[in-house]
Amino acid sequence: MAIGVSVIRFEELDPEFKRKVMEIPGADKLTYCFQCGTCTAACPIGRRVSDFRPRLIARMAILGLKKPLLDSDLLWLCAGCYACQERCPQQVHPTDVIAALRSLAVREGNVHPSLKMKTELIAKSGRLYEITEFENMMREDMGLPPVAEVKVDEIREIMRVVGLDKLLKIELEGGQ
Amino acid sequence: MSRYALFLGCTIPARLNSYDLSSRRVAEALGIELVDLEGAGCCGTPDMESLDHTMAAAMAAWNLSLAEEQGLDIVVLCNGCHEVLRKYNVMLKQDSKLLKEVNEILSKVGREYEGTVEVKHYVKVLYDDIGPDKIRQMLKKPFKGLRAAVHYGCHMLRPSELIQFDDPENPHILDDLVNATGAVSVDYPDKLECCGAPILAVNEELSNSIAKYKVQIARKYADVMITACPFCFMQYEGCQVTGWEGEQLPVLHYPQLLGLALGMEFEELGINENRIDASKILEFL
Repeated sequence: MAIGVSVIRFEELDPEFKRKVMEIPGADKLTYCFQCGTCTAACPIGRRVSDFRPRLIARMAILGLKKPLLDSDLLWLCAGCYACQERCPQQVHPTDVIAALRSLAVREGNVHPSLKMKTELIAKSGRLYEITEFENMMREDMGLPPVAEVKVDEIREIMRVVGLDKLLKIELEGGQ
Repeated sequence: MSRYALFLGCTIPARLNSYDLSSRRVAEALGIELVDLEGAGCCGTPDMESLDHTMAAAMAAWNLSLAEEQGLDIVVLCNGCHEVLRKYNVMLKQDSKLLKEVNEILSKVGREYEGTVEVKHYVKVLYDDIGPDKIRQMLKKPFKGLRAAVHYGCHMLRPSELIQFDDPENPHILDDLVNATGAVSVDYPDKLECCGAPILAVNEELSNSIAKYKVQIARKYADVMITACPFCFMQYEGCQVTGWEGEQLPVLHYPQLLGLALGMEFEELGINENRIDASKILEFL
């Protein structure tokens, strides 16, 4: 499960990789990282999973260790809590860097199944959980108004225009 | 009277009507009008940017455009919706290139976002529009001696650079609102740490252990835990249901706490729907 590599082979490094990461909004200051480790110290996941270290992730991204990074399951463990981002003295935005790396991993076909599932659910009903007559009856019993209907066809169309269906290789239900 | 479009999100109407109910009852009592936002769906979730940044921005802008059409600012109850809608709203307002790119996408569904909407957390609306002092004057049954462990939740505060809710390291807004009910917000170690919810679908055991750790600390200092996010609430209740040892710590949505101090009953605030029995809180009224 370890994300790191014990031996770094220069021929395996992709010097252009950091540029690809930095093109993604939020991740543009990746190379400001001076490896202080404040991010790892602030990380509630790193405290519990020793292999998960935002500092290491930043270093690997800068070095261009593209494959071990983008193939790793550990990328999906980040809780997105932004504790590292608040405390980074270099404004590297480690949380945004990890989100950027995830989006590059998705383009390589490594997407956590839960993210794919969430997208399919949103495409289906416009929400993570479908609201049926049953839920609205429960709400009525409590004196709550029914949940307003989602314009889900518009969400599906936006997903199509952006190309989320092709990216995740999913079918978007309904619509055109 | 202040008036807002209520952005419910996904989790609250499916799982936590108690939070919806208590928020509406308290808003009514305080003179805040909440209008259900027609047509809106999921905010995109904080995960959407891990798939595609443009998609996340477009989804947020689409939801924002629905409120813009109604001429209303948005109030959110969920920290996830708060992070996404507030963050992208700021980005869209600051970055005309992003706004243009997103509007080209929205034009395919006949929409446009001009950038006139504000997004506020329910807690912030209570703080800004009513305020702790006025709340204190409205109490019918102030709490006496109730120790409350406040959990802000990550996405109420962070990323502060864009969200600008409160001081991200020493926030006071929710503490002040809790103190206004007569309860005492206590300090406790790792108060600002994550509840573990975002990784629930990635590693359930780890997610659960993070929530447990927080409740185990909080119960040493407090009689009740206070949240203002459906995910944090479900984490703290859920981790106490199976494999929990010792006394349980009741968890309340902030408007449930405030509602009690305003003189409302358990059922009116949906507290009877909470999974951890909160009846011992009545002893402090």
